[in-house]
This record gives sequence, structure tokens and C-alpha cells, in this order.
Amino acid sequence: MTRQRRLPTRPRNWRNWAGRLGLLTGLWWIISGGEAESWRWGLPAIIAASLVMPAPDLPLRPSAWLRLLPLALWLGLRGGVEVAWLASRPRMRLDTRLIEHRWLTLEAPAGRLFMASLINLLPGTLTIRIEHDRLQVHVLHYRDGIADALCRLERYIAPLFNSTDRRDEEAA
Amino acid sequence: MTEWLSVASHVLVVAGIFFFLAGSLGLVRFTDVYGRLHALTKADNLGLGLLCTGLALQASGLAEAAKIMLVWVLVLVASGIGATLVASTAAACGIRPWLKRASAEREAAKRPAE
Repeated sequence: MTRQRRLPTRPRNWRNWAGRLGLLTGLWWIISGGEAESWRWGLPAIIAASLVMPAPDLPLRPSAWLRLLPLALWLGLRGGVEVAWLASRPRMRLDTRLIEHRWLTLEAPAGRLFMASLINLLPGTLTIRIEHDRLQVHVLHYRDGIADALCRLERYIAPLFNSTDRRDEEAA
Repeated sequence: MTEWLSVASHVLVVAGIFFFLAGSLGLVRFTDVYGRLHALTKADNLGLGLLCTGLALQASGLAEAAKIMLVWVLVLVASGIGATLVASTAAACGIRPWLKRASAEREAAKRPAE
């Protein structure tokens, strides 16, 4: 039933299909190095693949992605610098802790998995366990503001996935 | 312009190598599997990002530069998911994280009895 609802050829899913077609076209252009010859057999393969591949849970919301990406890149940069600093110090003093982040607004399982994977790239945090009501997080070197940063990140991610749920419910 | 791009490219590649070295140092120095995952997922990914950006600046065309950056994006995705899988498997196997605070508290609790 769920599978049937996600078939790309249904009219309400045309937008998703167009998104997948665009993504695959972009990937083909990158992988083929932009060679004109490759499109002759690449284009049919792209169209076939976009029709056959299942619709991903990742929604097509460019504005929300554009808000999330700079934050993720900035936090990723800080994460790398922090770990490099901690690893390079002559005397390594780590205040390692386990903290719990209770889910605030993120309800979709795909969104929770996305956030759990994303915080592994952010400063000092690593997902240890994903539970239905919370996320267990390993903090390499604890400092104030980590819990707030996780809440802030969830607020950025939630609109992406929760809106998909609402659309699915409406469609059903 | 080309000279500036070349200089920026070399700076980024050298910075990338530094973060790779720092990540490797963390892999050796951090105390447990969870700490080592921090080194692998953060410092190494930043190093790879800088390295790829530096190499993309030397690419002959936009498609080639995008291909180099795609390598970084795919590694980021694999690294984020892989770290969660390794850490949750380690936790499920009963490997407890090294916590300085917990060990300090245990030592402090012992002292009055002594």
C-alpha cells in the first residue's frame, strides 16, 4: 500500500520524480565529465532509473536546505578544528560525557536518522543510540551550549521532514 | 587570477594534510573507540574537504571540479552513517565509553572511606 502510494508516476508525485530526474541528470553530468557523446545512452538510463528508483524520504525543499547547509558546513568546520586541537595538545585533558537529547519536534524516523548522522560531523558530538524518545550522544570534550546546539539543529532539520509527514497524511 | 587560484589551491591542500595528520594523531591518542570515531568523522572529513576544494581549484573544467567535490560529499554521507553504526554496535556489545568525570567521581567517593 505504502509502496503503491510512492510510485513516481502518480500525478501528486510528479514533483518528486522531477527532483529525482534533476538529481540523476546532475550526477550523470558530473560523472561523465560533461561529454556530449555520453548523453546518447545516458539520457534513457537516467529516465529509466528515475522511474524505477523508490521515492526517497528526503523531501525537496530548497529553501530549508539552503538554511541548513551553511549551518552544517560551519559546524563541520568547527568540529574538525576542535578535534584537531584536542588531538594535537601536548597534555590531553578531555571532559568526555554521555548526554541525552530528547526529541522536541522531529517526528519522522528518516529525519531522526538524518540528524543522528549529521551530529557525527559536528563539534564534539557522536550518536551512540537512537531511541524513540531521545538520542544518546557521546561528547568528546563537554562545554556549555552543546545541548542548546542540538536543539537548534533539530529546529533546522524538523521542517524538512515533518512537512513530508503532513503531505503524506494529506495524500492518504 | 590563475596565480591566486594556484596559491589558494596549495594553501587548502596543505591545510587539508594538516587536518588529516591531526585526525590520525587523534586516532592514536584518544582513549576509546568512541573518541577515535570523533577523530575519523570530524578532522579527517574536514581535511578531505579542504583537500578536495584545493584540487577542485586546479581542475580543468566545472564538471571535473564537481566530480572531485562529489567524492567529498559521498565520503561525508558514508562517514556520518558509518560512525553511528560503529558507535551503536560498540554500545550494544557492551563497550562502555571512557568518562573522566565518572572515574574522578568514583575516586572522590572512595577517599572519605579511606
